[in-house]
Amino acid sequence: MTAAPITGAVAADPYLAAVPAPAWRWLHHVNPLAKLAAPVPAIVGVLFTRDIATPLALIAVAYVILLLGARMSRSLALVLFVVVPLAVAAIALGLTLWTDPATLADPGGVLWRIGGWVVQEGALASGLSAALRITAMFVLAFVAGATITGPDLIRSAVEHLHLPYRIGYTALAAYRFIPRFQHELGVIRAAHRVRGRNGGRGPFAAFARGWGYVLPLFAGAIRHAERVALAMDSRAFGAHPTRTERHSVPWRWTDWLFLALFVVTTGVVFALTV
Amino acid sequence: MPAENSSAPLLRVSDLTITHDGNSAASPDRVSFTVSPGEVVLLLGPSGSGKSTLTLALNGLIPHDVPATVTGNVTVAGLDTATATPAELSPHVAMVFQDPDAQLVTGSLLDEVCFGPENLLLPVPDVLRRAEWALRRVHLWDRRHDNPDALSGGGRQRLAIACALAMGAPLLVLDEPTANLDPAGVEEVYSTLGEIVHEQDRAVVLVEHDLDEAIGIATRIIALDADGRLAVDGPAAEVLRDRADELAALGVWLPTATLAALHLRDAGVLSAPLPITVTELRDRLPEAVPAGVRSGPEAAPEPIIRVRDLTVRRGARPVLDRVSLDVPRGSFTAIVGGNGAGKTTLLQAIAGVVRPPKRAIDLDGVDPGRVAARSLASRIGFVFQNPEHQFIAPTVRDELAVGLRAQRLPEDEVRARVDEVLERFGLTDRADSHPFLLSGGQKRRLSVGTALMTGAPILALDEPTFGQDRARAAELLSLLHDLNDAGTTIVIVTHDMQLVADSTTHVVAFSGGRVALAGTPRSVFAEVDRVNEIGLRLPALPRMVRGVPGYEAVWTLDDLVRTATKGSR
Amino acid sequence: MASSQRLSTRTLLICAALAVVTGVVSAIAGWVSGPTIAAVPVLYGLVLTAHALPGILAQVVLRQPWVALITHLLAALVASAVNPLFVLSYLSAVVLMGGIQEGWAAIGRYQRWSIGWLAIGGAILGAVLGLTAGLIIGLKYLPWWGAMLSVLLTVVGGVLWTLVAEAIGRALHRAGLTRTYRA
Ligand SMILES: Nc1ncnc2c1ncn2[C@@H]1O[C@H](COP(=O)(O)OP(=O)(O)OP(=O)(O)O)[C@@H](O)[C@H]1O
Ligand SMILES: Nc1ncnc2c1ncn2[C@@H]1O[C@H](COP(=O)(O)OP(=O)(O)OP(=O)(O)O)[C@@H](O)[C@H]1O
Ligand SMILES: [Mg+2]
Ligand SMILES: [Mg+2]
Repeated sequence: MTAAPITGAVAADPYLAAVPAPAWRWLHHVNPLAKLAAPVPAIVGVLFTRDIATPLALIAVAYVILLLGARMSRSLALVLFVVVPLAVAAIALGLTLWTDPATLADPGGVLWRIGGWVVQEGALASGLSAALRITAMFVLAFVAGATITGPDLIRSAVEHLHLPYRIGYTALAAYRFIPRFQHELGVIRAAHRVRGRNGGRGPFAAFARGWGYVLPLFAGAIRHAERVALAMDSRAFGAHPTRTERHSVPWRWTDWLFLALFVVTTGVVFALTV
Repeated sequence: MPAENSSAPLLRVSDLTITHDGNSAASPDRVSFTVSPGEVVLLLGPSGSGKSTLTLALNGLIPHDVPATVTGNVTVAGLDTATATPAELSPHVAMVFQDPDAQLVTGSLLDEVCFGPENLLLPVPDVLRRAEWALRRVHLWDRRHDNPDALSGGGRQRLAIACALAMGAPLLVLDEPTANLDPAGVEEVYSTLGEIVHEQDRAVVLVEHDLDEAIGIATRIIALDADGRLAVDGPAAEVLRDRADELAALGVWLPTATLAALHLRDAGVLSAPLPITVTELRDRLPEAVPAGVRSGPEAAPEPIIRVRDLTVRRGARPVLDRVSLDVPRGSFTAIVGGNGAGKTTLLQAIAGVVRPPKRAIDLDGVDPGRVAARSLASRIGFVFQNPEHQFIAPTVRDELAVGLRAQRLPEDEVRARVDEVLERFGLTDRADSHPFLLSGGQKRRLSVGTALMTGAPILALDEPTFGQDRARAAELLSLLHDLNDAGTTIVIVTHDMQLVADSTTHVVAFSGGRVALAGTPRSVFAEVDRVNEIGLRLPALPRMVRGVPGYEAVWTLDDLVRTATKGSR
Repeated sequence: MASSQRLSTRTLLICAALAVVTGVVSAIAGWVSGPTIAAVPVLYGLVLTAHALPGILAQVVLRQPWVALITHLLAALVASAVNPLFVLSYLSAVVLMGGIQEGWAAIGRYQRWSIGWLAIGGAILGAVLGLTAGLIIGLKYLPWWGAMLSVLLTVVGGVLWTLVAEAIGRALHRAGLTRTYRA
């Protein structure tokens, strides 16, 4: 066992929610549950659309909210301005090529030909709408994802949704498993490599190799989990149906407001486009 | 609950027998004792005798959490652990376990200490009051907003003690709290524990391998034998004075002073009763003539491993920073240093476990930075700290055969050589079991066996004596010495400084990813201040006899006996 | 909740450990799903069903009520701590996959753990996922063989990952790791 803390392997410290966002980055101060619930009608609704305007409008709404309310970290900027446009383009292209022209009600004119493959306007429209649909679902979800921290989500779910606190705290304890198991996996891979268990290239050899890690990795993980469980039970975990909470994640009237505005906006978008 | 009166024992264990589900033998077996407030009980026993099992029964984790058959009973403050759950018992018994990482739940020291009292539904002001009190007692209050990862190993173990104290329990149970720590961390933990027991308001049950620190606070010793029966129970001083032979025969670790006393008595220079404290021993050491202490091998032969300007990064931080060193051919070299100093990383780079940069290492003529890791197997055998990490075959026999089959030896030769090693390591009757089903000691022997199979001229071992009792550790070391005598170069990582002094010919001490000291054990330990500064300590024996005239050159038990017998004749 | 109160801390933490370890598989699946949709959308089913692994593995190892749902929930909570942007996707996997797996085990009264029974559960999960994914991608625009194939591959994926979980469970059992959990 190494007693030296293993850090730096995970990009984000899940507990490091400590640096509070300034007040004007208001999205950070909305209750996590409100942020989770608000985009759900829009996400479900967009599933059933087949046009281009609706998902595009919803994406625009999500971008406005994120730009106004969320702290613009480098990674968020990368996702919003590079990854998302690229993803739309790539998925649209892929689906367009796969679209069977015979299924289109209005195939439209021929856009281009690649060998025997004919791409028509209708196919591009259906590919693009599917790509926007998929992207809209993710971007709408980013409204919650960009500003939620794990511990707050858990505390809030325990406080307001009556998620059993034992499950919530199990999740908190599990955050600590990530760097530990990563380190363990690294050691196991190295061990197997020196023992000559890395023969061959290609997916089958890779699969066989991966299979060899399964047992030691799960063995270590399960034993560690058992030890943590013993330590938690020794400290009265689960003694009572509730426990004292020092950190409260309150639900304020502004959370109702956010929820209501989001749902109304969603309704307006659908009313205008459908 | 019956009213407690102060003279009643806090803990009563009667006729306790525990059999883990799936095991045939019981350990502990019919054990009875009581513990009263103010007592500090040191629980000893060989590996597998049931010490951990017994501690788990003290707060009801057995049978409530760990499936096991229990007969007899345990009562704490009048509560029967068969009916009261660990949660109900937690205000009466608090636990500290071996691995600091396996006891952490939250993201800051303060949250961590508050976790227990919050579970007890105490009001917030009480929770905070307790947390502050507990953190102050372990001197961590100033760091309350830190992530526990930022603490050293010793610091995290002190945090675990604070968490236990915050439960407000009068009985504190610790199972090998310092097993993962470097010498400075051990010292840190025991100075904290010393302050806590000083007030005599609580009872402590302590399982420990490193007895030199623990014996300073123990008032009583209880020892289990290999079958889990109660072998010894008595006041610490009395047991060490009168029954040290029994303890030694059990194969458990002993305080260095006691071990030294036993050796001196056997050499005929010390008569009963045995001295028990370091001061007593020093007072009774015969006058010495310091001449004629055998010196270690001085002339360094050509190096078999040569490391030059090795830098290994993990993330942005260099874990090894321009390290250069030589390991002489045929030597028994120890790599020492504090937790996180980079010892494991160095050993793994040498053996090609993590691929080192090119041209940084010369391993008996090959560069592990250039060749495939498994082709190194014929040059160096590597034993991982956790044996389970390296097991890749479904049976013990196949496990031993892996290296030979990779060399494409004929199957009957493989069989013959595997059988020979099985015999030598006492694993013949387990040849067809799954390696994961072996006991801890057997797993360790198997991992050493696999490393030996290919007959490599170098053997590298990461903390090979970790978690072993004294008899097992001695057995392993004598095996390593045999190999060393036959010409194998041995490189080990260890936290046991006395082992370094006793067994090795060369030492490399690390601090913060750099070589701090290197040379023979004597030349390295001569730099006392530097050694202390980098989180190491002198071995227990030389520390003990330091300042006694004539004993300046004593490093090992052999030295001690030789110096003493010369003096007395 | 009374029902989850009966689960020991040990069971909960083992669920967490399984969730974190299988998180590696889920993370890989997450990374390849974008390129898969863009390049060969019909194969997406094989990737998508990889996310079912935590729940089915928990059932195979622990054989208890609620463990599938809880393991999915823990996997989602842990994954959203590492990669919060996708928190809603993770949570929807809990509802959909955890719900189906838990429901199927409940239909078997938590008594049926045969490989056949689990595989049928995997197939049902695959079918539901295939149709949902089809709705998103727009199955009806694919050539008919593409549409058939993508749903079929999702069903195959559901069964395949169930078999993987069963194989892991057996390996752990042989190594003596689960002997105290399952009957
Ligand atoms: N969870 C378990 N399941 C089955 N058997 C177990 C379990 N834990 C321990 N044992 C067995 O019970 C016996 C006592 O083990 P225990 O861990 O209590 O010994 P110990 O004295 O603490 O040893 P060590 O010094 O190595 O820590 C051993 O034979 C061990 O193999
Ligand atoms: N895979 C890894 N990822 C990130 N950091 C690591 C990794 N492995 C080791 N480290 C870090 O490198 C440093 C040196 O680690 P190493 O394991 O070599 O120390 P050590 O001297 O063996 O310590 P110990 O005495 O605790 O075993 C430590 O700070 C550790 O946290
Ligand atoms: Mg033990
Ligand atoms: Mg190490």
